[in-house]
Amino acid sequence: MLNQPEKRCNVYPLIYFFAVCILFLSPLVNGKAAAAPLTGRDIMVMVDEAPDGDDRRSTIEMVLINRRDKKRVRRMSSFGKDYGKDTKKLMGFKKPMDIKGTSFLSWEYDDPSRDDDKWLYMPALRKVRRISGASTNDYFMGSDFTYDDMGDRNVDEDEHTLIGEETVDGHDCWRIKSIPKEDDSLYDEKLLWVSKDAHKTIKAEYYDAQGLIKTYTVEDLREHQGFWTVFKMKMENHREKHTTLMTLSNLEYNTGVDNGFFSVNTISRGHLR
Amino acid sequence: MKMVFTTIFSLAVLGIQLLPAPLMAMDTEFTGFLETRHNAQVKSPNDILASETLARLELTACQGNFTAFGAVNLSANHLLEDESGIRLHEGYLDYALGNTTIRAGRQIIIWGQSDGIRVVDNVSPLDYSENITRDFDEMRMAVDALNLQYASGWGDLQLLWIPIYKSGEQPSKDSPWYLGGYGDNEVLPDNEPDDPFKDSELALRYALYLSGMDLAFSYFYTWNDFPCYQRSGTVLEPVYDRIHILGAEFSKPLGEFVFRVEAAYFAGSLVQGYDDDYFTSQKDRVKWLTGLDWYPGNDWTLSWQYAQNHILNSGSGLSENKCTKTVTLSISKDLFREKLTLSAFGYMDIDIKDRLVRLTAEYQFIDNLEVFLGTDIFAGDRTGSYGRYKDNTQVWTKIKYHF
Repeated sequence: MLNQPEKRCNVYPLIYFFAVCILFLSPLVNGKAAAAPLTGRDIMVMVDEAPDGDDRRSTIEMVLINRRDKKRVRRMSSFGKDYGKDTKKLMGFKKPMDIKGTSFLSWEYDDPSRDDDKWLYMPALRKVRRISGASTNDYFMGSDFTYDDMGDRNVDEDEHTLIGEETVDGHDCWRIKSIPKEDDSLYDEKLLWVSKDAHKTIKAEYYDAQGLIKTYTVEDLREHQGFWTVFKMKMENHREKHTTLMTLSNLEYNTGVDNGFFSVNTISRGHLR
Repeated sequence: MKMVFTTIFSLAVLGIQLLPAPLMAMDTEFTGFLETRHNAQVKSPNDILASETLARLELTACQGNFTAFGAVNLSANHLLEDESGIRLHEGYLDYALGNTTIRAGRQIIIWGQSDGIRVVDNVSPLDYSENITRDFDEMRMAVDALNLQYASGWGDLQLLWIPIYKSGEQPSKDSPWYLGGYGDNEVLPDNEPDDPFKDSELALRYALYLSGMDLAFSYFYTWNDFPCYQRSGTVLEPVYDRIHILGAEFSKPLGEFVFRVEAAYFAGSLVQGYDDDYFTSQKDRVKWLTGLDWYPGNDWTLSWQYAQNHILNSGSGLSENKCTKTVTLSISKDLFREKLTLSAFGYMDIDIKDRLVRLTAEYQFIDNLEVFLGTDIFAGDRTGSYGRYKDNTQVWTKIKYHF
């Protein structure tokens, strides 16, 4: 009886041996060595999966500035919630007054072969309309941002190549070249500067066959409620001499919003608060 | 009774809007628009066909789970002065608790997937006082209803009780859109259904919004929107009758397209007839519509619809054709970062070949201020629904300021 505890103690070196083996083998099981260099795709996946809570709400203001420095303002309430890699989003427009009350609901799927589900509520018609989820190259509300620019594009729709490292506005960045795999983008090429700390794109240049079209820059990036957040960004269209400033305010993460909120019923009530 | 209710409610909404904000504990918002619109006949004598200045004052007040909404129209009709005045456009109280919402009061309720053609969309009647040349949203008339909605993961259920019957509006005798009535016949005044319990209307709709498709089924126990007339001694008597309407809707996105279908079966629809004299006849009818919307990108939107309206077992002498086939086409393009929108919407009756084409240019000078220029072209045989108005082909302008 006295020898039995000793026998049990002899198992520990064996467990230790297997644990060490598993620790060293695990990168190989994942298909890459721990020290393997990051690829452009790895970095863009990190950007896509950068932590931003399970759900979030904010007020977005866009100022559209034309070549004569005339300004137009669009303001909306924005809500989002993640369901694995898919996201449900809801936007309620507040300004200008002619579109106030218009609401937009989207269920966005990570799978590029699956079209997003989108519904639009038009207060004048008191009607929810299903709209096509396919055309993401259109400009959003007359701004310089397309739906793709605002994050609707799947990482694997572009070929990403890490082409260098650079410091932008004090942020150490990876420099990525992204080329669409299919002829479905407004751009032939994008150059992206991704912050190594925040895993956020803080500068981007968009090119087509004629050269540079637009430049995106982040003007306010900081941590908020534990998450790196872009609070202010600018998109300049060099061809049309048009600029859009986008600002986030009243931002809250992990509000615990109910799943039922992201439904057609919410937008069809017409009074989104 | 209705007039008294409308006046009291309108004054209440106006009164609330005049209260200084600090006095109001609720979260309130005052919005609306001011518009002036003027339509002129293209052919001689170039009469004015519509001329109105309208202010819509809207107030939304929220407190806890309650939301109150009131919209009042202050209208100055420069052509038909009798139609000027203050009217309650909408006024209701919402109570939301979890997945359930109750809306009580005067409200516009729109069902269906179609544009400009009514198939299952029969709850809010239409104002045809300028035929169909007004914006679709301005032609809608609110009904006094109790509207209960329950949203669940399995779909949205809507129950409606409409205790006060509301008929549609036809052009008045002074209107350039009036086509004449019943000759020299004396017509008895309308005897609309008016018992809030016995004559009330009931509706039920169940809608499913799924990934990749929407479905809805509905039932509406209602009355005909307009009276039909039958001989009663020496006069014509207006007749209203009950209708059961069963409806179904379906829409599905397919890449850049959205495919839509809706159909409705009307059991006991009242139809006007004239043989040797005016008579009414109860007929079942089937309406259906299929449509395709195309969003090719670059701010283009195109839409096509085909609709049929069948009267089943139609006899002789009915004022409507046994089967009406209508096709519509709509094209819209936003330009200059959505400052300018050019659009065209056309209806055509396939058998009679009469048509209405509406061309519109909408320009947003500054935020909240829009200027519209447009034309409504009626053409084709005068026996058709559109061709009969060919003398009223018009050009129009509208200025609208939102606040």
